[in-house]
Formats: sequence, C-alpha cells, structure tokens
Amino acid sequence: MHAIPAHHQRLTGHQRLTGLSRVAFGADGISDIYQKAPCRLLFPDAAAGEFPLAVSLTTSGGLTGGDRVAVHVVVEPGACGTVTTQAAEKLYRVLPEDPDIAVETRLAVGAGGRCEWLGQEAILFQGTRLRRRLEADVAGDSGLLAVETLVLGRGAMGEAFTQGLVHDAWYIRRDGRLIWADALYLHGDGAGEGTLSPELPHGLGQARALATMLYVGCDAARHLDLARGLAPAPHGGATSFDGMLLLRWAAPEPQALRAQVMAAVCALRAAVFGLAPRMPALWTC
Amino acid sequence: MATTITTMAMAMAITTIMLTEPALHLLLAWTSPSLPIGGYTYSHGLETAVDDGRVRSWADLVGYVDAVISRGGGWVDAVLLTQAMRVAHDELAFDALADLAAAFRASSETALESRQQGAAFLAVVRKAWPHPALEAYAVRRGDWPNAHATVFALAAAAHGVDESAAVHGFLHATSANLVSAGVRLVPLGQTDGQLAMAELARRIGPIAAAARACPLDDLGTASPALELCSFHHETLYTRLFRS
Repeated sequence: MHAIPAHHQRLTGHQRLTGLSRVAFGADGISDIYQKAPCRLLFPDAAAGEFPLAVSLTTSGGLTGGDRVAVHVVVEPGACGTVTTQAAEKLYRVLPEDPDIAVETRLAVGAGGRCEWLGQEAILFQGTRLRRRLEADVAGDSGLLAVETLVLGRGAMGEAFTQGLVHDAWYIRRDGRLIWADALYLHGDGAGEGTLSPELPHGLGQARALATMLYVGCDAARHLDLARGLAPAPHGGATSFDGMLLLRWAAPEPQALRAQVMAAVCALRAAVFGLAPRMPALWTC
Repeated sequence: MATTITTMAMAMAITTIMLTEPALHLLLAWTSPSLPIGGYTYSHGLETAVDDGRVRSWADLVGYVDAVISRGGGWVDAVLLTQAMRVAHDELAFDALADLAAAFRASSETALESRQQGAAFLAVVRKAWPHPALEAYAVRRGDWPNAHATVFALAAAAHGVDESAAVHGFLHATSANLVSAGVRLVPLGQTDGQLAMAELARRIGPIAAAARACPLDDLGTASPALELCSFHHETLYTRLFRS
C-alpha cells in the first residue's frame, strides 16, 4: 500500500537535518534574517494593507527521525509581521532506532507589536514520532494570533495514525511570566494500545485533525462570542481567560477543519488587527 | 476493551504505602469534602457530558473520571504534584513548577476550578497546619495564581506526607468530587456512586504509579473531548456547577 518503503519516505536521503530560520520584523519591514538548511524563508510581496510577510519552508520535502528544525520570529517593539508556512509539513515514519523529530517555533513580540503565526497542517504519517514546541514571549500590550493544525494519518490514502507519538506543547509568556502551558501527548503501538485509540472514552474518538488557535492581547475577552461562532460544537469550542482567546477543534474531516480554521483566521485577524479577512495567498493556491 | 484489561492487570501489582499516624490524618483532612475549599461547586466539564447524554450511568461516570485522571487535567495535576513534591525544598525549582501548574489550564472554568481551590487550600492550611515553608511561599507568590495540585504538594512535603500517599490522596479526592457531582447531575443513587468509587479506586493505583514515573518532557493530555466539554459548559443554558 505504501509506494515508497518506510526507510525511503524522504528521497533526499537519510542524513539527519538540523535547520533554523530566523526572521525579525522592524519598523521598516524585515530587519534581519538567518537561514540554515533545510529551513528557508521566502518574502513574497504582501498585499496592500497587510503586515510584512515571511514564508517558512523546509526544503527537505518532509521530516524524519533525528531531524530538528526551528523557526524563530522576532517582532520588534511597535512593528508587525505575518509568518506562514508554505505548505503542509509531512512527518514521515521514524525508524525505531532513530530519535524523535523535533520542531520548535519561537515567537517574540515586543511592546505594541503585532504578530501572526499561521502554520499549515502537520501531517503525521503512520509510525512518525514528533515532538513539537511553540514558545511565545509577548509584551503586555502586544498582540499575537497563532494557529497550528495536526492531521492524524493520510486519510485520503486509507492510512490511520495508530502507531507513533506526538507531543505538541505550547508555552506562552507575557512580560516574562508563563501565562499558558498546554501539551497534547498521543501515542499508540499500532495494535490498539495507547491514547491514539478511538475507543477511549472522551479521547480522540473519530477526530482525524486537531487545531489550536490562540490570540493573546488585552482585548482577547471581547472577541469570545465571535470565537464561539467560529469554532462551533460539536467539533470546536472557544474559551477566554487571562488575556487569551483560545479556539480548539477535534474534527473527523481534515479538509472541513481547514476551511473552518481559515474562516476563523480571517475573521479574527479582521477583528483584532483590522486586517482584511483573507489568508496569505499560499493557503489558497 | 484493551485499556481496561491492561489497567486491571497492572492493578494486580499492589504496593504498600507507609504513613505515620499524623500524616494519615493530614491527608484525610486535606482530601475530605469537608475541607472548605469549595470543591463541590466544580464538575470539570462533567455537567456538559451529562446534559448531552454522554454520561447516564455509573459506568459512564467512571469512564469520564478515568479520562480526567489518566489523560486529562487530573493527570496533569498528578504529574506536577509529584514533581513539585520532589523539589519542594528548592524555592526556584518549586516556584517554576507552581507557575507551570497554574498556567497548565485548558479553559477559563478549569483554571478557576484549580486556582480558586488552590488559593483556598493555601489559606486554610496556613491557618490550621502552619509551616514556615508555606509562609515563605505565600510571601514569594503574592497575588499570582496557585494551582491546587502544587500548593497541595508543598503542604504535603512540608508536613512529611509520603509522595505516593499524596498522589493517591489527590487522585482519590479528585475522583470522589467528580463522582459526587455525577451523582447529583445524572442523578444516580448513592450506592451507584460508591460502585463508581470502588471501580475508580482500582484504577488509581496504576495511574498514580504512571504519574510518578512520567518525566516532564512527556507531560500532556489526550482528552480533546474533555476540553470541548469544558468549553461548552460556559454556554450551557442552565448550570449547577462552576466548571
């Protein structure tokens, strides 16, 4: 059923990769960049009225055991920036003897800064082991809108994600103090044991895609009613506390979830940042 | 179901917990519904699951509580409680865990649930069971929120309660509080509530052992449906509980 043998899922070779992209946004747009393969940054012209835009990608065509990649985003005081990923990221099977894949996202938003982190789906192939960590340091009067989505298995190919590991952690600090921590820890042995099992009460159930969207800003609570409408029951929900607005989904259909996530980003970026209700072009082409 | 069998098999390995008489009394008092910290006002999203028919029987109630304590908010608390007890003598390390525990909250209402009980627990234990470590912590902490689990850990460590006993006690109290909420919400007979507690007591052993063995790098939940229950509780038409 797999056209490519497990150990060759990434055709560019099996050497372990350690990549880093760093981008800083200043008063006049992009103020600093650094790139180490396989991480790359592209800077397409942003449409009029948009924040300066950076597109993050990995040139390896996906990640596998032992790979470590990081994206660091700095928004300087008073500046603004949008970073999106170029496409869905593929997390290939990790061989038992290889280390887990490590993906790190660090966002730093200075006083009065405004930042969007718009991650497209991370697609977890059967047998992958991913440890992902998003850390944000925001100033008290800044605004950060961040979204990430996990897709469990390649459903279109009839693949379920029953074996592997995903540890997906968020840490948000405001003015240096931790205000929100969260982590998903799903694992399975391929034979029904573990928390990937759809049978566990109040667990994954039929969910094949999970999304987390967070807005941190002084006005977060004011947008709770909007957020509730954007992430409706039964597969979505919203809450607000401590200057944060949190939207979450656990949905059976990744494509339908993508549509809801995009609609929610559009509505929230308009509400909180006064931006046009549209996604960066890469999301729709 | 596979998971139930595993849990039962693991439960066969029964461990012995050693407690001094004073420590036993502390633990019973701190996990009693009569401790005035308001636990009876919280359902941890259970009210939503009863409202929409997912929890109708004592067996359903066991499933909900098991999810909370084995891979939901109760699990996070159990892991952080053990980690916090181990570093209770080290102010910097303990305070970092206290920050993590206060921030590790899935929703507005579960944050209130943990922090309001944490504040009340700290206040009442400082009065009735004073200890210099609790006073020093309260001064350092100021107005910053406290998770129930970490102030419980600090009090337990300060007063010499065994780590395993503390985790068992905390998980038992969390379970008993949710069972009590379920008995009122479904509603269930009092004996059904005790059937649920008897089953949960069998499951707490392996859950406590796993929590004590869980490294912080692996700490996480696997209960998206519970989080959505809590989110949706905020907009339930009629609510008996604050979470």
